[in-house]
Amino acid sequence: MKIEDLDFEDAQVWDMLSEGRVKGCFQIEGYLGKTWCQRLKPRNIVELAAVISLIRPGCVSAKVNGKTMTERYADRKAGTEDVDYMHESIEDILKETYGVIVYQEQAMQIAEKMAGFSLKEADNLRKAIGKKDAKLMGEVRSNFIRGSINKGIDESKAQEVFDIIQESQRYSFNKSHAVGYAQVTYWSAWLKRHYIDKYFKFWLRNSDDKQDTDTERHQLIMAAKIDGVEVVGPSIKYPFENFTKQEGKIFFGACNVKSVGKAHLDKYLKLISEWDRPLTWLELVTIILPNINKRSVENLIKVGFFSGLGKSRSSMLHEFSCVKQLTKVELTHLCEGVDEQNNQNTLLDHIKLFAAKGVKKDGGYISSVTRQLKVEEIISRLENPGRDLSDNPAMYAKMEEKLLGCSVTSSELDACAQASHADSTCVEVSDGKKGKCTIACVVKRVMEHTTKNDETMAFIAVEDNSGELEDIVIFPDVYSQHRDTIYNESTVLITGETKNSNRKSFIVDNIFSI
Amino acid sequence: MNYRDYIVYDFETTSPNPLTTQPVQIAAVVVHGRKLEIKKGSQFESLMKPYLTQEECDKHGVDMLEDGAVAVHGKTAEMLAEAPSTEAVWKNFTEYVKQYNFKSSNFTAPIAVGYNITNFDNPIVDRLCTKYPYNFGPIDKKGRQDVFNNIHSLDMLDFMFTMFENNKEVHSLSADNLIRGHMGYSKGRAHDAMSDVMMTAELFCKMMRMLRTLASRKNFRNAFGEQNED
Repeated sequence: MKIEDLDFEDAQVWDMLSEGRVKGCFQIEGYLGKTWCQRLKPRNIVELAAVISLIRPGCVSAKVNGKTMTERYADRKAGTEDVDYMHESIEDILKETYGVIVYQEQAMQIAEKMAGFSLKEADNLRKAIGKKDAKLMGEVRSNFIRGSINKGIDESKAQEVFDIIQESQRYSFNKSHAVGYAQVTYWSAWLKRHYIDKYFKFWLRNSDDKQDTDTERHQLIMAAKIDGVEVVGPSIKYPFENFTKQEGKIFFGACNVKSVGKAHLDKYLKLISEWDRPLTWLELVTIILPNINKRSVENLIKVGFFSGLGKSRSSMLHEFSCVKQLTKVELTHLCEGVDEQNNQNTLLDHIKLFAAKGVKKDGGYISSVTRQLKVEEIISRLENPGRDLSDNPAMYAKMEEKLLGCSVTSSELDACAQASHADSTCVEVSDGKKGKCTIACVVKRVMEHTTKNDETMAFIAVEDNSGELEDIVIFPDVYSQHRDTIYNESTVLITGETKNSNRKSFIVDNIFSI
Repeated sequence: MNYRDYIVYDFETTSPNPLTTQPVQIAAVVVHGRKLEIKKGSQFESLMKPYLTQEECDKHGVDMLEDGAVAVHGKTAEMLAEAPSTEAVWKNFTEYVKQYNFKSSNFTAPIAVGYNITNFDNPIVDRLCTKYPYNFGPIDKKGRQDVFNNIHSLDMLDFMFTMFENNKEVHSLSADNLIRGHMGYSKGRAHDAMSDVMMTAELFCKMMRMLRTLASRKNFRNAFGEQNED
């Protein structure tokens, strides 16, 4: 089946777009696309083309007669504002866009129908508005009004229609272009709906080419969570270069970790290929890892690449750092004692045995007394790390965020005991959970806004393990009390309620730092 | 916005001269940079084996373990003889601090906090960094220590000075007199590094929260301007 043969009638695709699950969909994957898709709920290609045209910056921000074009279109579509076609002769032209002049083609058709413009003259109208040419505009305006009067239209109505064309056409979009875009958007949405694992896998692979890889990955992983696709960190079980789908999940590739290059992975794969069985941590840390770039290994440990081997990341980092103090010769002899039979021994046991054999002149393998002191120091470091080497979710969340672009195995919330007071998740709330809700979340974006009364309020976005929640509003009375608590990466409990069915804003009435 | 953590730390030593003393114990704890609370499981603590014979101390130009010091912290030569070497502990400590520096730049390195660290503990850190350059190089190009943030360092003794110097109820700004005596802090044993660190960390969190609250209530914009009436 060819993608060009799709009939644009798949209800599941339109449902997905209407729910705002648009990450990765052509032209509408951003915040504007998501929120306006949720509000405008496109159900066919024409409506989707209108969404694409109406989320352009001019349409969203510039007001014509007190309302933006996008808001006017949305209100008229929702039936909260009466549709006004300005003149009955142009009703057919403006019917599909509820009386709003969204496309350049519509303006040209109006000029043709109301004022009897030829297509050449209508194109001059488009050019005059686009180029803001005052002289040409004056000529076109007088031609338009004269032509309208000749067709029996009242002069004041002709002036009114021309003014609206002039205002709205500054931001209007080419319809053929918009429909072309909408087709590509539908195809990408269709692929997302029907091949969701592959869709996210390839988008994640593509994230390296984005200007801000971390943000892209973070958004993709959050969107994947909402769509029920689990993305997990790299694993020693699947030491591939790039994102892969295994066991129904998408695994990070080793080279998706910062500072880990293909050459490092190739070297690792070459070294382990000499073994016909999976290696233990002890074998890896003594035989394989010291031969690979130090920072790469540290970063792989930090993101949990070796976590399946039964040791905490902190203790693996500590042991690797100790082993790196040994010389190549010392390591070679230390490795001689590491094999399948004595794999139960710890690294400390092996180094102790190695040190007990003494320096060369006593039949051991350590080159000098100075090196012997160094080996004793390593033993001392292993015996007394000075700190708790068990896993710490908050720390790993930070490390993963830094090295993968997004924390995938734990979140800072996992370290907050008070998080258990939450009764809802971000996804439940964004799916429309009614009534008072309490969410334990990490603040991801804060946008302050000064009200007419010169008070400060905030719009924030948060996330928890279930996904992301945007459109959270903190009004000045609450924000003034909790301003110090709300900052990027803060962990908070927020209570509030979803109000205003149109925008689905979550209004916060209390905040607790956790 | 400060996303750096604070590390409250303290040494117990062989003598009172920071330029020739030897550390015998180090302890530290991490305070969350924004929440101003102690991070769970973030304690570091270890004894450190100093040079214990007069010959070794003379060779390295450092002070022997003085009786007065033992009387203060209780770490005897017998206890310290079994302790890990200073170098091993220092390496472990630098690794521990590095764990809390998520961007691996000195600008984002944790900020050192302590009681009387400016004149006592910080010079010891400088000496240790010079003596045991390790891993990411604890000395930067300008010759400064590169373990902690080398722009900020907060000494609680200075905080206390600004607040209590003219207070007739406070006779001395020493931690023993002011925090354990005047303020009534009773947890742990005085002059055990970990106990002192926890005390300093709790004091630090309290003071910082107070100052942050004051700072957020007061509008500093145009504070020295002509229109300002405060």
